[in-house]
Amino acid sequence: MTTIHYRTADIDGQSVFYREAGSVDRPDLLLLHGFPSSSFMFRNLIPRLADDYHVVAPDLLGFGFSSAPSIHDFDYTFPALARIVRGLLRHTGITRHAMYVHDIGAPVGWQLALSNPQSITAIVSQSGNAYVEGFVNSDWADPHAYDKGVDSESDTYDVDFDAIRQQYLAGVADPSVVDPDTWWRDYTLMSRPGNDLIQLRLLRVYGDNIRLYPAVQQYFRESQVPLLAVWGKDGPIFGPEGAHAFTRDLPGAQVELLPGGHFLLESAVDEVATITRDFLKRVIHQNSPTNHTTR
Amino acid sequence: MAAVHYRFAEIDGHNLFYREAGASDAPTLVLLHGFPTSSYMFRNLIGLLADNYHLIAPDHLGFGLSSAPSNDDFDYTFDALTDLTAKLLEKLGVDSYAMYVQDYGAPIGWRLALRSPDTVTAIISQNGNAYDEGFVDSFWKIVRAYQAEQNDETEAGIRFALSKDATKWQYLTGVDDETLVNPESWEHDYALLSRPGNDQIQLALFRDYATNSPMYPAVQEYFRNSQVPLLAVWAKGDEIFGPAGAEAFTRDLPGAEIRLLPGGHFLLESAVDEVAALIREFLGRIPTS
Repeated sequence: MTTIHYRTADIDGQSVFYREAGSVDRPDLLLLHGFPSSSFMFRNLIPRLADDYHVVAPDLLGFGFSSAPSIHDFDYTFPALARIVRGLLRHTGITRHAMYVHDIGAPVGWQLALSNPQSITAIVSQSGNAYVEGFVNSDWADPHAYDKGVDSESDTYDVDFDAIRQQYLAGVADPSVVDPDTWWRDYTLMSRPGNDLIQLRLLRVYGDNIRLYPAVQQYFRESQVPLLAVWGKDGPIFGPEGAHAFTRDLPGAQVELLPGGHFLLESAVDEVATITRDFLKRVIHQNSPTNHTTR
Repeated sequence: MAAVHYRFAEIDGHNLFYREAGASDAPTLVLLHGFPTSSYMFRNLIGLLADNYHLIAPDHLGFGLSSAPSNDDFDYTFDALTDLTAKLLEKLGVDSYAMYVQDYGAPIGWRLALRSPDTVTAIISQNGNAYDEGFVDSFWKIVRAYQAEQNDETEAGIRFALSKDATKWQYLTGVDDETLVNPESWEHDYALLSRPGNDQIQLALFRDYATNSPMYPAVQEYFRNSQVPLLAVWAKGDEIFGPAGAEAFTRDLPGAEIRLLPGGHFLLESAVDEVAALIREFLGRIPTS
């Protein structure tokens, strides 16, 4: 099995945890996790990519093993989370990279792309939206409803064990293949004092991401960045319409809908790894002759 | 990768969690975890063996995702944990198997073997003792003091073993490159140890651990009589069970294979590839019936 290193870096005074694997002279691939997980969600994907890529998977601030300063000490917005990730990219010497984004990893990734379009070689989106299509109504009755302003001290967030568990199980045909460590771990970390308010804050500013979609779509049109949308088609949060929508601005986008749920890597990591490898090999190795084209 | 299944079975009214992978008609390897972890410790090993073996890795009662009835409601002893493991294997229809034991997994595995020697085809011990040699005194004197007399002082001493610092120490001691050890390991264990009442469960097992050494002569007799194939794959840097415990197996099992590897108590965290390769080679030589 590929060696994975578990490291921390000091970025803007915050301790940022990241998993790193693969040779640094291979093309760089950044993995950005979703809510309420961490780089833990990539634990099985990383070994399947690290022979050909230099893989870096940070925990966003407030998640996993990265620092989780209170909402009074850090302004949790998606641009702020992206700023920390940019700091980590500098720390690890990464200037151009592909990125795999999931859920709230997507708006963080879009921030990176908009601030420096040339730095992005390719995008893999796994249930990471850039369009309003596909927000599953049962979960997002109105995404803008979250966007009702922050900072009410009485604002509370119920860390619901069963709701976290359902994020992992909904849409999975055989629940016995889903590791219960996933939701236990998320629940444990979200139950840390003050973490509920961090998560609530990010929900409250989620509307900013939706307002950014037109700019993201413009970036797609202008850059024609190679994009793979690989989607758990039975997930409870982002439906397949969100995957198809990419082709509107990126006619060459590859769309793969797989049986599975929101955390597709829990039940279909082999399939996703194979599709991702084929995609990256096609778009990165061919387009970047200075990168290593031999295996 | 072979699919790993995460399942529960009801045994004596308790919910036992276990990981299962591999074809059910392949030779079975039962993985028995140590303190203070769970089948979580085998998460990477399972994927490396599941193409050739049927793997079953239970969480002992009070550990991992298995039920953890309070110490008032369940008498936590190694005998009792063995009862549950035996019943789980029976329920799963496993009547012939190799075992991989680590730490607490060893006294449970030895009890299974003593009860039913013919069902055990081979043993892999990773820092799982069957001899008094190799117990590292700096760690065990605290346990022995608590076993000898339970008072505020000895309990305070042993309670250090339940702290996050001690859990982290168990994972990092003896490991050259600490970036190889996933911090999830000790965070995971510590979160579970910190559940209300789990301390009393662990204290009960520390007390009952005193029953293991008196059992060793019977285990050694079983080794002599059965000449069961045994691989001791041992982290040299373990400061709980030192390498002398690995070498000791050859006294009763001259054919035992002893492999000392760089690493710590949870060797699979830093050397899973090496351990998996040794296991495959070792089990590959065992005739399957």
